[in-house]
Amino acid sequence: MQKASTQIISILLFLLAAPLTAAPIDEALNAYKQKQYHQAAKVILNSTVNLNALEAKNKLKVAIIFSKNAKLSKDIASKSQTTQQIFLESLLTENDKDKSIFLYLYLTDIYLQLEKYDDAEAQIEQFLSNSSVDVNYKNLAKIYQAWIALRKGKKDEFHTIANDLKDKHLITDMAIGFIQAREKQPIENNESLSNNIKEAFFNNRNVLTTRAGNYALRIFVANHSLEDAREIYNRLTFHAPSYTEKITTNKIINFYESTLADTLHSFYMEYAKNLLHQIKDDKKYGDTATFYLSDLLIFENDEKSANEYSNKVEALRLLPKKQSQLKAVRASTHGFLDGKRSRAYQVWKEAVENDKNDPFISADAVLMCLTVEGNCPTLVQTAQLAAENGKSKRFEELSRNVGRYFLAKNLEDKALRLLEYALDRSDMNSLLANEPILLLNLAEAYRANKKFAKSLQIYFSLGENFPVMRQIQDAVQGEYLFQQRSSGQSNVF
Amino acid sequence: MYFNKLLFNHHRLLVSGIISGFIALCLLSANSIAANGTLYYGESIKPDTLDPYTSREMSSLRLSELIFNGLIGINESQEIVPELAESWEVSTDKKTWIFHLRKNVSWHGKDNKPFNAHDVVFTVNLVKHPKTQSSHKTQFDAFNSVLALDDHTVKFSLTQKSLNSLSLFTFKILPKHKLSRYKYLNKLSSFSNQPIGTGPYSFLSSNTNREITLLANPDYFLGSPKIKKIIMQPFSDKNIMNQALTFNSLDMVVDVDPRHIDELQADSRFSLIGYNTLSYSFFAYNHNNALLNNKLIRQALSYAVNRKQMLKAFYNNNGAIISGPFAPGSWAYNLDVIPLDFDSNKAIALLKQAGLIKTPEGFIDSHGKPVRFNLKVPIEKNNESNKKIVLAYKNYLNKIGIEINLVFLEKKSWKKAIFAQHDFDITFATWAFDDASDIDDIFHSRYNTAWQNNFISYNNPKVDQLLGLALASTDHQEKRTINHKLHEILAEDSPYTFLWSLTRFAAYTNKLKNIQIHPYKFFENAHLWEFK
Repeated sequence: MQKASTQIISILLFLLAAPLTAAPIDEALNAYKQKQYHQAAKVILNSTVNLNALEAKNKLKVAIIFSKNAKLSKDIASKSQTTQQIFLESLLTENDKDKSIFLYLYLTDIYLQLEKYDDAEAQIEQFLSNSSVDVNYKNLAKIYQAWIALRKGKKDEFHTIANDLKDKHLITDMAIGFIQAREKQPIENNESLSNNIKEAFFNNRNVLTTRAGNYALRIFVANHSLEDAREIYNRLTFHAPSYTEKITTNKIINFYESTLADTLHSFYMEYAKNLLHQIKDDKKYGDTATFYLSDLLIFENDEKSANEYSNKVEALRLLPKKQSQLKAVRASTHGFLDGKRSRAYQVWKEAVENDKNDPFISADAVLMCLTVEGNCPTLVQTAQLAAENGKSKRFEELSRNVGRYFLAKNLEDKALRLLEYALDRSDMNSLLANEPILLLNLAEAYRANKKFAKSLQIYFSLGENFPVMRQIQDAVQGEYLFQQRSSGQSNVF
Repeated sequence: MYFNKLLFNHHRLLVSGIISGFIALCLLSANSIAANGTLYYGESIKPDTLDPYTSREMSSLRLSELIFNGLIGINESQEIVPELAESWEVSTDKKTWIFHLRKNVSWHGKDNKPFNAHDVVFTVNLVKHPKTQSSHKTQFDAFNSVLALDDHTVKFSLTQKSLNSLSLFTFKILPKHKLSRYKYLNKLSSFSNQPIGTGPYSFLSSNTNREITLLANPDYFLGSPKIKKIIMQPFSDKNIMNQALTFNSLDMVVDVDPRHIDELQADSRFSLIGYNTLSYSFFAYNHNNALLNNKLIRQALSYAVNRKQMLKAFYNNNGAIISGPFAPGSWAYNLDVIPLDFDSNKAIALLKQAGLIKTPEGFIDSHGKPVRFNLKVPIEKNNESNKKIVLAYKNYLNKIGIEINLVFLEKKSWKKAIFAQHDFDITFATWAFDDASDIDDIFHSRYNTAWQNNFISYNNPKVDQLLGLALASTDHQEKRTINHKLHEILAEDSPYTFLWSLTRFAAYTNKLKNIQIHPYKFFENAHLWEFK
């Protein structure tokens, strides 16, 4: 879920008015203002600042930075799965002679995230049928089989497979813990597993592979051990492959952890919520913190707290003006999650119809519909017309959200048109001055429309600020090569 | 309208300054150019020739895209589009291709000569002729033989199977009846300046200022174009070109100067569209120069240049610093190769390591001669950004004790010096690539003769070997791995100082509709473009 950059900047300026005590937070805010959100988070997390000891206003700042990263990481995760699926499936079609068996393993992972369990099952069987697989990967493949069973509702089968594993190493236990964490289940032998991870990677300083880092981070987040998670985060190389297979001297394939961006999402989200909870009763910043908590709960489509937060948002008083204007739309969105769908559709529709000249609220209404995966063809049509006719920069966010809505509905050509409108209403002269969420979706829309060079050019710029983007870049490069049909001309420009 | 254009040219000759320019352009804008269905577009570089083979510039390629057709085309979405061929067949070994040609396609001109299979065979043989001067010949190396089976069927045999064999047939077809007296093609043939094709527009005229007028081909086989005339006007000054656009004397500018993007973006009368993402700029080092043949010296020159500062100062950071021979938008770019940092101390250390001697006046070679290089630059009058870049480069190298002698040459002389005579030490240029991102003709040692693209005489057996493997590979991931290796080797070997890749923007009036801009060829479906 994305809000107007102006809105967030106004809050940050408001917060900046107070004297600062923590230099890393200043540095982080500078990076944040330049839309280098990952760098902003990294500065804070790499520092020695005890986040729990910060004063309320700094906690709010850090929470805003983390929540921005949480949302972006979720979108990166989704794009990563789509692009990696296409690329790995393309590799499967190549000649059999030099095929990597790891294609089956990594495709299993992706199919699992995409909830294609039969496909996942078929891939993992292919992987296991190969006799050359070593014991660690064989165990991992069996754990994937267990995961598929769990997703299909066969809890006992999960435990049977997990318990029957032989020659288990720490990474095997971490894989099981990772799955349980992702599935919001209690982690077996939680305490000893956590201790073993700490012993291996903190005390003995074992090499933290991307896979191990991904698993450990997720396990610590699930345990709410945020300081341990922070240490893992600081040691992870986000752009590194999970596994590199050298098939021949001239054929090398990098495989990536397709769940890493989602793990990052959960880490940022947990941290942001934790900090916001700490200050939600603060006299000065409590209302703003509650608004942001509500924002994150909507983003997570949290149904449990929907009723509570619908009322809470309505009752907020000490909010900056822009956020105050969004209260009705946000409250109705919690209502949507609480089952009051017709009311939400009505509020969003009215917001779009009554807000054509200054589309701040209508942009938010479209975003809300997108976030809760609603179906809003009428209001989006109205918003689309307003976005297409609105020429000023104020229409950037509306165009962006309508474009994202279309992309989510697989209407790629429409999505590209609206996202290009958004860029046209933003800063064309300096790509990275634009919202990363716009650039990410525009890059994906270009890819989906097979305009690969434009897509990769954006991903290249984004990758400089968001290293986890590498897995998308790699996959899109691969797809581009499979799809391109040109003859090989070069000219002097 | 002709009067208007004359007035505009006179204005540029006789007066200078913004105010007088404003008045003259206001006069121009009084007459609407849309009414007569003529599209005026501005280029900053005059096209050298107008046939598809003898020129090596994008401005020429854009025009030839309007005049000529291939057997097939490839659109921006990577789809194969039938052009002069209606259908085709391929053998199971992918080495024999048979094309069935459209009937009832005529060449431009009053005689309306029909296009046929003999034109296709003629084109292949003409371009393959050893004396034909074309940087695009490499594509034709793949053809073992070509045969007209009848007037409308043509058969190709390929030397080897490759990943994108079909793409080979995008080459433009030339008219046998106009060129039969030639055995080969060069820039001096009259055809190169008065071309005849089968495309949506036919060549009408070219004046002394190299303003080129094309006329709609009403019999175009994909449909009669909706705009009657297209006129390309060259501008040596991008400021004047931008003014011409904003005062309605132009309908389109092909390459907007970065300084004007904000202004045009804010002007609701115009649309901006990014294209040509697969391009990059570089300083190239002539390996025939004994000093520049030394890798350490080339690396030193690359370390000495602060590319980040230049990109920020001259292009408002609207681009990406690159580390090797591919644009970042390419599938072949190796993301693990990091661009060299600016480090003048390291540059000096490398020069010393190469055997050069540092004196208070600068570096001298082992014979005691100051190290001095000629930097030859194509300079179109008032092309400020190019001037600034080469001046900055000269200053950076002066700071480490290398003397640079800047030589500004008119484009034609520059091309002759660089591509034909290889008479230079260093030059500054920009490559633009299609989606194949093929660097074979740029770095393979077999393409280092006159008018070929390896004009720096780069010769690295390992690179040659890998380029050969990449070309022959029929495995996508293998091809990518090989190109990543090439990126790594070429970044290390520094035959060029790889600079940056910029986003190019075209701007056009919103009076136009159905505009599709191909990322490489620019004009796409130009017959469908029209004024509202």
